[in-house]
Amino acid sequence: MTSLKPKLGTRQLFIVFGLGIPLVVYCLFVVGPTLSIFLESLFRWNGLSPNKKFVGLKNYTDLFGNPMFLSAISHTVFLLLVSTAVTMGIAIFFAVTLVQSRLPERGIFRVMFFFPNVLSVVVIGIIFRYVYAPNTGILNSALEAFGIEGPIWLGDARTVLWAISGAMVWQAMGYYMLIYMAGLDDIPPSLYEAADLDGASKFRQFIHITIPMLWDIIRVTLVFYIISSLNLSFTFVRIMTDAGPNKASEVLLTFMYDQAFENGNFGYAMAAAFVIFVLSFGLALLSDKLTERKDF
Amino acid sequence: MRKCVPSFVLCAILAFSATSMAFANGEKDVAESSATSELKISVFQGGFGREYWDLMAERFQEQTGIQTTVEASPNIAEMIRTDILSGNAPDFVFLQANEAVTKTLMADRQLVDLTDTIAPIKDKFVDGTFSMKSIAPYGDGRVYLTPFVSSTMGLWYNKTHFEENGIATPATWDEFFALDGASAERALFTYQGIYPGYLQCFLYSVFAASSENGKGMLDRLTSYDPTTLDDPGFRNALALLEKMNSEDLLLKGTVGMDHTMSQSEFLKGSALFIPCGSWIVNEMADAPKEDGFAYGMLPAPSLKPGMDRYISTKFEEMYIPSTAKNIENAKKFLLFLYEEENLIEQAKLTQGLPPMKNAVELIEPYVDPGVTASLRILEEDGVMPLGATFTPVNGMATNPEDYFWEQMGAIITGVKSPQKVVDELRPVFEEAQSLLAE
Repeated sequence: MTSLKPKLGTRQLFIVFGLGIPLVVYCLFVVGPTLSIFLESLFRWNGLSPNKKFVGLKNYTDLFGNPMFLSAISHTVFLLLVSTAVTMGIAIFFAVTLVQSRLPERGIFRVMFFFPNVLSVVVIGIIFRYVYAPNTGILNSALEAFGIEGPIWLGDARTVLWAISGAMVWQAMGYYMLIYMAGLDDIPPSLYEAADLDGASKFRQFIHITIPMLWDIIRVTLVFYIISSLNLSFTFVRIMTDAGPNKASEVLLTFMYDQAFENGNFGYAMAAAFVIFVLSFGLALLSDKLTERKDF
Repeated sequence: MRKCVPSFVLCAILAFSATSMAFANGEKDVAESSATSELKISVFQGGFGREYWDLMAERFQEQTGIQTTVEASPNIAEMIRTDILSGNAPDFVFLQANEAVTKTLMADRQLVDLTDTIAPIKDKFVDGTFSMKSIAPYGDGRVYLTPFVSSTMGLWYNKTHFEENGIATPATWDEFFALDGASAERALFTYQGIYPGYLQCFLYSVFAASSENGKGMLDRLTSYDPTTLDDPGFRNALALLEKMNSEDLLLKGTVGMDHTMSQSEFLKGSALFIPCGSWIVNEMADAPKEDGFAYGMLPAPSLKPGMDRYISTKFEEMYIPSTAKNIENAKKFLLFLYEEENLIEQAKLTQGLPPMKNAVELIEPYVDPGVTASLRILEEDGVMPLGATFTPVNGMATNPEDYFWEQMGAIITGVKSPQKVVDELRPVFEEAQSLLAE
């Protein structure tokens, strides 16, 4: 011990202090709760009782034997895939269109597209519930004008997840469009001028200049979107369908919430929470791995 | 500096600990010294608001000198959960028996026995009140919850439309189905589609009226007895639901509507009937209605003429958690609420009353005639009150009650056949029954 003492100078102490505080905070607010969730998941507990019964990994085996949990996973993955692909696609398309077309109304469009992001997710959920209303909703009324009988968007297992995806895309699109527009502004115009001189079409410029130059931003936004849409899916489902019809729109977070707070099954819900944590972490890692920079 | 930093941190930690302990001790002292002169009530702030509770707390404090505080929130269930877990349980709670927190407390036997408290005023209540499952949940006659407001649940219709068009209200299912097409551009039936739990507003009565021993069957059903699923009365009721779909009697789009949408459609005249409780009158007070609309309520039709018909009653419950610190004060407060002058205030401020024998007379001056009509329905010949509710079960991966109503919704919307529903309900009932037996 005494041999170490002379080595601990002010600089080292500052480093220990500077790293120690964030580490303590991280352990307190991230590692601690995660471990505590895992520990709770090993018990059968109703969330209120002083009595907890240790059941080991039974909550996990029950969870993966529960078809409702498995369908909640598939619904969540569906929403993540569809809303991520559509949101990112539309956001990039609009960003490129607005930046490259140099429209004078660019500012107005930017505000209009960003506007849904200012609204509360709950409000957007309610708006879309009315948009999709079977008899009086704007969507079915519009379809009716063309002689098409619209489906019962939120009441049919075949359409409900698509309908929720629509609301998720509308909510997020403007935000990501703005991020891509900022990224596009940083691409030197000389690259496009050179491509024009070489006779490259707009599409080839998009594929070979825009996408590669934006790639790092796309990677970051993908991870952001996956994590945020996991959370958003809870609010949208809760407001728009309450997981119906017949659990056809149950997602992982509504499953977990219902088990904990509606079904008095806290240990089981904590097992679901731990699986969700692992899943979201895994999805974020996977998207990062899949989008690793390659030569364009 | 080297010596100074750790010393400073150590001092700060010590100071913080000492201060925290001082505060903790202070709180403890206050709590101990005032254990007999305080009352903390936690109430659900929904359609009844909080004005009534604030007034009662003020009056109770004036009368008894007991310091009474009101915690009211639409999210009170979560607040109560946190309070209980942190050892600060409320002394008195107003929250429905079918709320998850209440169900958990019931299943875990964490409620104070109120049988002796309520005994002196028991006769003022409608007969049978204290034998209902939501009030005496363990079937041993002991009372653990008491009613705050009594609502009736049944099939609502537009009285004016029926009278003007000479349509007789149906007493049997044959008469009910014969009304299909009786009014142009009106479907026969709608319900609160995405919330199939609303189907209980009439299905409990349907089960009870679906066979000669329907009420006995209903008791077995709500205790998750799997043999009920093969009962002819139960199968009769499922067949009626199936018929609603196979004969296309539901208002188009019902399955995708929430309670507000479907109730609005009914009020605008899109459907002849909707199941709901008496709360619909206040809930939809500001919603647009067709000209001359007047609320009328029916019990669910019976299979044959002359059979008893039932109206489900639903209470909003009050109770005292067993971990409350001021149980005696809470009991005094409970009795205080049932004093006549306070009941009049309740009628004025909440438009609701507990199931007292004189409730209709007390409430009549203050409420919409629709509410009075829904309460007076129990005075009709051959209409019996019904207090059905599923027994709470803890520890199941599938919430058996919610699952049951979802399956009823699946039949009425044509997603599943009655046989498939029975097959899927059976393992859930078996698991629930075995957990209840534990």
